[in-house]
Amino acid sequence: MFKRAPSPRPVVAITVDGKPVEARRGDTVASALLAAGYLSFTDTPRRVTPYCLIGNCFGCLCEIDGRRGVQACLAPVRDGMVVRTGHKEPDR
Amino acid sequence: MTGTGCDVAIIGAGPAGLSAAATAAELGLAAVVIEEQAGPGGQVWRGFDGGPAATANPAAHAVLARARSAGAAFRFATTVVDIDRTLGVTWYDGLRLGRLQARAVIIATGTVERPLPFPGWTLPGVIGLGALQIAYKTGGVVPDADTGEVVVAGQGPLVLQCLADLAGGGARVSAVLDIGARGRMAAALASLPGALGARPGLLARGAGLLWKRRLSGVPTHRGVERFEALGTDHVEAVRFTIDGTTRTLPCRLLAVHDGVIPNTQLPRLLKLDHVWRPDTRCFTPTVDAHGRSSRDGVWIAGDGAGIGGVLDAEPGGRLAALDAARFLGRLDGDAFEQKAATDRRRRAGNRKARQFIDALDPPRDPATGLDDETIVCRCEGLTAGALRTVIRGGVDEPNRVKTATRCGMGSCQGRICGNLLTQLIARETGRPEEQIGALRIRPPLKPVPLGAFADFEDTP
Repeated sequence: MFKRAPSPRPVVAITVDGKPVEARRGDTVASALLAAGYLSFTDTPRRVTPYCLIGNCFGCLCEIDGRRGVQACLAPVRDGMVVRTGHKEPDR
Repeated sequence: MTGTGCDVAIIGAGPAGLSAAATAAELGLAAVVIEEQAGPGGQVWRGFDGGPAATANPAAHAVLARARSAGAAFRFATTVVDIDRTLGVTWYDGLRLGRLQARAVIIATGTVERPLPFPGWTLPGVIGLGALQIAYKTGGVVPDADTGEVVVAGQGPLVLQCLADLAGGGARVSAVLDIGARGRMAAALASLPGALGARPGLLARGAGLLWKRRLSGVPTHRGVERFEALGTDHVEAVRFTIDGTTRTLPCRLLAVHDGVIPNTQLPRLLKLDHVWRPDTRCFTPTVDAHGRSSRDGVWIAGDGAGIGGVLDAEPGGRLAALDAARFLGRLDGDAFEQKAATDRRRRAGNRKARQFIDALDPPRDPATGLDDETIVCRCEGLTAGALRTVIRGGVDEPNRVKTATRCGMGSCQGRICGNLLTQLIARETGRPEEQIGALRIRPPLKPVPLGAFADFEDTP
């Protein structure tokens, strides 16, 4: 559902639920997850989903480097970042 | 962490905040800008300072350069979690709490998307249209119709701008559903002469975007009365009704938009006066011509005091900083009048243009056609029906509904459901929104771990 426009930005290697994902410098965890095929970032029963991407809706909460309930849309990606959404695989 | 002080604390580094910072610093005030995002620009100028979608934005670079060289300080990736009675600003940067004692505060936190509830809006794959623009500006991430149909359902000036931006990034959209009321162009025409006289360039740009959209060949369905997202684990189709006829389109991404509204978390935390604006269906802080709020020492600049767009944000930021400088004794009355004159004239012209733009796309009434099964409080999964039952049982004030149902108690603390709840109560009781009021906002504005409080020395 999402693709990435060709980018000269360096790759940032993160893992999502144990799987390697290529993000780009400048990504937030949210934009990286969308590009990787995730439409929701937490496997709660109500499937709260990212809606605003500016820190207002709290639909992008996930676990980042061991901290739970972090807004993915406000977290810039960093090499080696460990993200957990609880999904077995992306929505795509 | 010990406290530090400043003359002016500016919350938000978008066009209004940056303009306020530059003006304040150039007048010799100690200005600190606190911004939640990792860099400057807010949303409309997002990523201008080196982001992936950075385009030439000389205005933004100029303002930032002025602010920096005049000595304004910046704290990025930092969220304001409280502002107390003495204008002490408590912030959290993900690691620690800090406190900044200000003598004046300029709130420049901009807008948020107007929440648009409809059946299926919590399905994965439903997202705000503004969010698509953010994903593009942040990481060059765009919708891809090759891997699943992309439908945009919305109205408002941002729809055209977003479609143009996304097309520029290589995005393909399968269809556009125009959810605006039919005949609104005719209703808006009364404001057109004033707008043309004041801001012909702005209107020309809008017309250009319309023409571009027409030429793009994306099928557009006008007069959409009702629409819903269908699917089990994620959106698979969108069903919509025009003139009583229902159609269904396959869809894997549904981007929706019904305009933007002021972000009022901080103004309401500070208990500033607000009025209910029936034309924009939201509570808006009341400010004077310079952005001065109902509370001494607090200004609101930019869209947070009423939607005026980026063209109004810069003069608004400057005026707030000038007024703050006058308040702090840094500028006498005559110097203030002289410096404020141009921006005041500019804003009067902007208002004329805005009247026309606002008349084009009045927001939908969210309570009309809101099925009982449709979620209103996303965080807690509460439906319109569940809330209506409680309201009809006599619980008809927002904070009491919150206590009874948890509506507004979830992660977003009422940011999404707040205005919706007030309007639901208005519909059920027949009382005006102004009288019904809003959810009370309490600190911290965003979650802070206990450990941060343990290390925090609250010294003035």
